[in-house]
Amino acid sequence: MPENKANNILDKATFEVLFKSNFVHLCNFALQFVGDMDTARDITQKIFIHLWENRAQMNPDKAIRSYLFTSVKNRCLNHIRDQKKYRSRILDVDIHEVDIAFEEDQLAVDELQTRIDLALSRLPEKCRQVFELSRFEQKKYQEIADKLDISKKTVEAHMSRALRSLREDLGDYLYLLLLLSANYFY
Amino acid sequence: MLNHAIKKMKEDNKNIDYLELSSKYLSGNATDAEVQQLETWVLAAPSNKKEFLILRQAWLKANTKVVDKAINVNEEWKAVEQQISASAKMVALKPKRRGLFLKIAAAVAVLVVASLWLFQSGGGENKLTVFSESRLKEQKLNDGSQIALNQFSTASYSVGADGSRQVQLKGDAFFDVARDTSRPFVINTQDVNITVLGTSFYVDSRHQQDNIQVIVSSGTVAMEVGGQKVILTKGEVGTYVKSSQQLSENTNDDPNFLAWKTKRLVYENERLEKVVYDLNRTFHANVSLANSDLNNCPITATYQDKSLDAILRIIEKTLTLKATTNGQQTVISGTCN
Repeated sequence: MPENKANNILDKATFEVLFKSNFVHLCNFALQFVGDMDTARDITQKIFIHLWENRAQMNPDKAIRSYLFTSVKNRCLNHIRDQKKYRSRILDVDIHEVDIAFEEDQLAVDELQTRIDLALSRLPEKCRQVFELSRFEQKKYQEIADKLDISKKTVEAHMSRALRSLREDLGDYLYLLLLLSANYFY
Repeated sequence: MLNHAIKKMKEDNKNIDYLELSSKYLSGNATDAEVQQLETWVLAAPSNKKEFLILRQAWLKANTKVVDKAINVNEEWKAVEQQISASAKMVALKPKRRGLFLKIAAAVAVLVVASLWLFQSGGGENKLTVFSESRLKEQKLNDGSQIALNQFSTASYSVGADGSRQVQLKGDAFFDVARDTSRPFVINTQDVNITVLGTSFYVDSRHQQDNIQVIVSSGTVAMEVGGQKVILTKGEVGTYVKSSQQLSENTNDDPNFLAWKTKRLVYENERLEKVVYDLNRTFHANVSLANSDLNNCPITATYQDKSLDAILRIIEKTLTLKATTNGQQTVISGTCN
């Protein structure tokens, strides 16, 4: 654990570095929860402004980054709640456990990206199309069914299959990453 | 193996297609009844909860791709800089807020607890220690996992207070770990932690070596040392260089890493230096080359069920070199072209 240094208040230059080196990761992280880029960007900006306004209480050590990620997540969850987008407190919030953001680790993010691309490329064409419409464009099952001229049942089947496949390709990888990120600050 | 695990889990939950429910839920297509059904399933067993967490992570992280190119950090910074400059005066007058620190402290506390949970070496009562001495030794653990120890290696197995499976390793060994996502299997060896859920892999942590290596045969393995970490999958090797304290991952191109177990060494135009390295690993021997000119002598051969001595004799013949054994040490000398 880094030691807290007295009188070591975050200065603007350090803040700028902190901002520029973390902004994209934090947006990325936020996007996972909120789904659209503008909201993700907006939330991330607000977190940074909040950090600056409260810098007197912060120390420019590693804890700030953990704080940033935790804040972004909390604000995202609040946002989803306010938008009435989340359906189950149990499934969305209560069981969050260990998933503090490993996005702090650039190497992990880069590698994860490679693995995700690979996992997606392994899906059968139709299956991937369905998944991407749902995941990246937030289309409802019925909309996807209409657009691709297939039944809703088929959309459901493709989605199950895509999720299972991602789980097989990424599941253990992600889970270990989570276990490690919990250990990472220790 | 994973397929099998998922299939099994499916059978265990015959009445519910949790994959369909999860994908509906995560994508925002579940009805209220389906949300409730999924909640019930998730809360029914720790393994269900873990499975859902993993599915949700896969779902969440799948979206990682889109962001990078869409953001211009300098533009974003300008916007934020304007805002903080504009509000500077106001901020100075604001009363200091507390709470922030507490939040961080809480976050850190959670993390510390989480890591204690993971790596605590508690329990200790049911400790099983295995030495291999001068022969290969295989040991089955009560969770179904299997450890094959190379010569002169030691493994101590215990179960932590939280149920996690823990092994202290000295030397080198091959692990075939029975899958159990709720109880991670953690191997500790010379500062390196290796965490797995269910997979098979080789760990080379011989003390006299410059490196510690983990080579993965199947599944996924996390290797961690002093804050550095790599996650390895089938066909990959993680290497920790002790002197520089650097951890890296690569594709494994060494077909002979399990020769001590398979009794088979295969070479296709390989350098003698590498062959000597393999002999030392396979037989825990101490073979060296008299001079560095010998490093590149080419060898093409397959040694099946041969003793160290027999292999040395063959090398002597094919390369017209001389292997001299003195006590524990063997030196190969001469010249090859």
